[in-house]
Amino acid sequence: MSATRRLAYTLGAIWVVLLVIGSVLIAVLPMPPGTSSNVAGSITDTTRLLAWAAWPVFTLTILATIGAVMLHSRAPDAPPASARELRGNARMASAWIGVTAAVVLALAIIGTITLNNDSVAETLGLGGRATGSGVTGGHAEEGPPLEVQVIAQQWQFTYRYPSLGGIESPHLVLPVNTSVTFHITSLDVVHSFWLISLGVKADAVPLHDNVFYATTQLTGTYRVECGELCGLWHGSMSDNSAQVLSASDFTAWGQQQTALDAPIMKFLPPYSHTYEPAPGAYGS
Amino acid sequence: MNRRGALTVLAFLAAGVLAGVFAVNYLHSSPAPTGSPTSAEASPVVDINLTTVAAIGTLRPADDHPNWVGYFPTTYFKVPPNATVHMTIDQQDGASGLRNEYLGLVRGTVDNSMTVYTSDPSSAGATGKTMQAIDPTTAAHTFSVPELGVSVPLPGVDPNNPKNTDNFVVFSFKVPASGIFHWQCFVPCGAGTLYGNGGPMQTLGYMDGQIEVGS
Amino acid sequence: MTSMAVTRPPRRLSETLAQWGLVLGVVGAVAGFFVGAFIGRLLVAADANSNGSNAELIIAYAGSAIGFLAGMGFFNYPLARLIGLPRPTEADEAFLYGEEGGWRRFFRLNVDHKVIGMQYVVVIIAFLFIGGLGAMFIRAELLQPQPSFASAESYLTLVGLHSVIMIFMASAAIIGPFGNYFVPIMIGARGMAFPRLEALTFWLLPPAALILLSSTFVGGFPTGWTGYAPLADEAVRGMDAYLVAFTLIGLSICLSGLNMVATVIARRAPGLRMTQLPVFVWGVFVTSWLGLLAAPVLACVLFMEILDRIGRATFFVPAGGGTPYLWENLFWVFGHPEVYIFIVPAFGLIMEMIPVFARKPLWGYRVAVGGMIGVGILSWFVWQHHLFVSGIAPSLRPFYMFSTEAISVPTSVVYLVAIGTLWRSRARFTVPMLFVMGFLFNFLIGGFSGVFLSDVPSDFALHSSYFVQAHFHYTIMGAEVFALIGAITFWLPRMTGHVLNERLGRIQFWWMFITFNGTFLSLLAVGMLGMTRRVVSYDPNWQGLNISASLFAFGLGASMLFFLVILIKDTLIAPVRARVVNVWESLGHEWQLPQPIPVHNFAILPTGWGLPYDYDRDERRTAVPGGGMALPEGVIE
Repeated sequence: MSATRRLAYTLGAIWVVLLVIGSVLIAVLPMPPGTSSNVAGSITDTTRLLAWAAWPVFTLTILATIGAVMLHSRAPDAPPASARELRGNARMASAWIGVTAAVVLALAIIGTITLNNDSVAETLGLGGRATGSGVTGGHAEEGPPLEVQVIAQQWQFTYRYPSLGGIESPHLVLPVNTSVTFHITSLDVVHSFWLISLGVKADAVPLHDNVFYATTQLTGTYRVECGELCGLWHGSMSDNSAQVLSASDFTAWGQQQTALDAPIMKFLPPYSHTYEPAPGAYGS
Repeated sequence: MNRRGALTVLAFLAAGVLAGVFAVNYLHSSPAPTGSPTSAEASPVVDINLTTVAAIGTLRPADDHPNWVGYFPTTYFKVPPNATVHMTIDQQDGASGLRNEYLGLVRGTVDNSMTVYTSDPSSAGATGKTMQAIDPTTAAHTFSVPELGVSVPLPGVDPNNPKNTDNFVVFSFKVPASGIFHWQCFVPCGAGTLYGNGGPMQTLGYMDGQIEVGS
Repeated sequence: MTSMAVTRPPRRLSETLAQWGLVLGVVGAVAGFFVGAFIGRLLVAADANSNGSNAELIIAYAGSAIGFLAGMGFFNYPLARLIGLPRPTEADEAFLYGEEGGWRRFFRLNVDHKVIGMQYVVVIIAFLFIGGLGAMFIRAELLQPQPSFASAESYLTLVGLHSVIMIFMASAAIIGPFGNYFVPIMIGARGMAFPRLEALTFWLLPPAALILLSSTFVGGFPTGWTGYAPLADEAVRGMDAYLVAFTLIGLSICLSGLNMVATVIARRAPGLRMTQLPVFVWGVFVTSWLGLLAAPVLACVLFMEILDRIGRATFFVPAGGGTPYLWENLFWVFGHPEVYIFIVPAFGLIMEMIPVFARKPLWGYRVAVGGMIGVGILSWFVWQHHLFVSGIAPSLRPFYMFSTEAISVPTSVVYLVAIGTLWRSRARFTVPMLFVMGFLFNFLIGGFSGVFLSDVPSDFALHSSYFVQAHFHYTIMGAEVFALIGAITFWLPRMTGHVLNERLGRIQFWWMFITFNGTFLSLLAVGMLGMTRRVVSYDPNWQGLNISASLFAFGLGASMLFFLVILIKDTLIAPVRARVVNVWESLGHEWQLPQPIPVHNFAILPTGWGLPYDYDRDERRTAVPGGGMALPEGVIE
């Protein structure tokens, strides 16, 4: 066996080993954002799928570069490059472009179909990936949805619950196993509501209503961040105490918050998906 | 090393040091904090007295932005761990209204309430009114620490009542054992800027500050 | 016009003024600033900023830039033509090209493309280190999960200055120094199509950087390099510095693109076809089209923001009838081709270097060129992937997802060409080649991290996180800056006749490579966990990864300083002169000219040039036993 061939086999074997180790690791390692909501689950699945698709190409490219370089140093007896290998090879080039284009096309087709059609997405194990028509993310599931409005302003998110009499809260509280419809808007500049572990992220744009569906699956305490640079306290616009509670705890919280909000309720404007600034507040 | 070499090295060192000094100086420009404990027990009480004025230049003539609205004397506080901060704010500014009406609610203070006086609460015979919320359109400023859940709206002085030159707002809140917490005003009060959100609303020392908990 | 010595008449007034151009430029800038401020005050009364209006500052900044250029002498020629003064004499032209030699010609208005290339090298390195200093302060601040030595306010300005100055650097890092220096030579031209314009594109950089840095004196700016409105409408006067400085850079990118496109099309040596251009020239050519077409969009959107700020035009304010989406779309229409303005010249550069060190013809020249053209065209159709979570119409997103994934096809061609060229080559791993390898590795991670950002649902979890930050640092720092340092090492012997120390260069490469990957792998991880970009406070759970990133980043900063030390040591302090011009035994046209290269490059325009990659016909290679190439002693180990 020539040194060239031995090198090729060695690198091939290394590639297979890397492939196996990598694929197993991608399968077993906990991949953010997790399974706290159906959207988070679909993001995790998508990330895994992309990682599985990318890993072989990634390792192959590196090993091919190493192999191309080592062919000379490892095999001094290697024959000099033939004319075919010197200035290019149309078949080789078209094969490369064809394969990469096919991979990309496959990813894009799967991506587009699963983005638009949830039943196909579920068949492919990517359930929850699809986006309902006209919304930024997620799609409504069966059952009565809970509408929660996220109001961003410099520099705090507040949350309004039209189904609880329009009360407002400085912390996000959600019931578990519920299809939640987030309506995200802003009162001043562009912010981005990011509920990390639930995989919810949508920009909060003034006088614009962004909609995001997510179904909560696990109770717990989660972190909210602002994902778009919004000025001085952008970094402090986070909250480590967003909660997903059991249905009974959520009802209890609702009553407690209603009591807390009682003094302000008469001053709150009627629930609306966007809030115009008062006329004359424009500044000179 | 030749003369040219030495000069080159010197020039680069000088440029580097200059750039470094400028940058450090620029980055580290926060004023000295205020706040001193009045009792040094396990849960100390800190008194902080602030004044809000429509133009900081009336109290601080040498200020960079004399016509900006601001809290006086400072917006940086340092308080001991687990302290109860007893705050008295002499509110002299007129109302400009809250953008988010919900912040008209008093939250996170002891008893979720504040007491409003129209004369100096330390003087004899001053009587205050305990409130849990105000009409959001009458708010001049808020004192809000979102990370501590504290938010207190400060009612503006009544433009139709020339005697009402000051509203003294008194409240207390507790801080945890450690941390740095930002506080700010939520009333878009930066007059002349886009929707009142610019200028003093975006600049430390006017409508924004920090509470540092540490001994 | 050739290298024949020019007998110099006594110096005339115009030459003395030009010699002192830099001083006059500073005087002009100061005067222009006050004139502009005066005009601004006449136009708009002082507003809530209490020490002057936005209009005043913006016009003052514009006045200072114009004053600087006037002092430098940029308006002499057009004004003289306008009022019908006689054309410049041969002596005037000789002075304009710096034919008298000497160091002073580098510090004034000089239209020799090689002088401009050298000026670019110095200014690009200066930008790199100013921006790098900012990076060090950012990482030092992020050692703590809460504000420590920087306040929230100065931290945002720090982030903004780091990013914008690095964008300035990256926009011109390769096309500026090496495009200007080598493209005319590589196409057999005596210079650029518009030499005065070429000088202007360079001299716009220093005032832009100074105006940007002056932002710290007027309150800084909170928006980062993306300048999102309406936050930019609210911001204090430091924002004006960003707007004017970025406009100047946009002008520079656009004019540089125009000039390069015209040069490559119109000034090629007789008989040199487009299909015979070195691959680096193709990289520059594609990039120049991007700059020529994308930068006007930037200038336009910045001007709209200026109108918003000085006249409440409310282009970007919803309650006034505008929309933030207008800024987001227009900015990224520029912004995404912009990132290919960074990287495509680097593609050309590394594909130019590989054959030299592999001692093999470039594999797949047509594929390489086609790949770069493909990237250039596709780069116009991907911008909305920046807006997947912004609330754009969801029906648009599949197209942008597809186009973003599709751009990886022409991009991957770089790897095909690199592997094809290295295949059965006799590669020598000198320092420039190590940087090429570093580029290939880092850009691979940069590219594959991009795949996760291209898919809509996985972007929900990663958009605006440190994952994005690490992704574009892998492509800009890991790829473009690696290519830049490789190119400096590679071409310095040609540009100045100095050779950088090989052993120290190797140490520097590995030091930089390891610390770079340590830094940005940590940041990829912390981004996946959910840390947002541009924050001064973060979840204390992420402090470990941040400390790791910071410590590696300090090592990375030290490695960059080490590069500067090597560069200064071997060129200025203890100069190491190359014993031969062509230290790498390159077949590139640029290496075949005498040292120093004559002012107008060629006495007689070359003919019969083809692709400079015929390493298989290189006699020197076959003359050495074992097929290696003989290199001058002390240059290559």
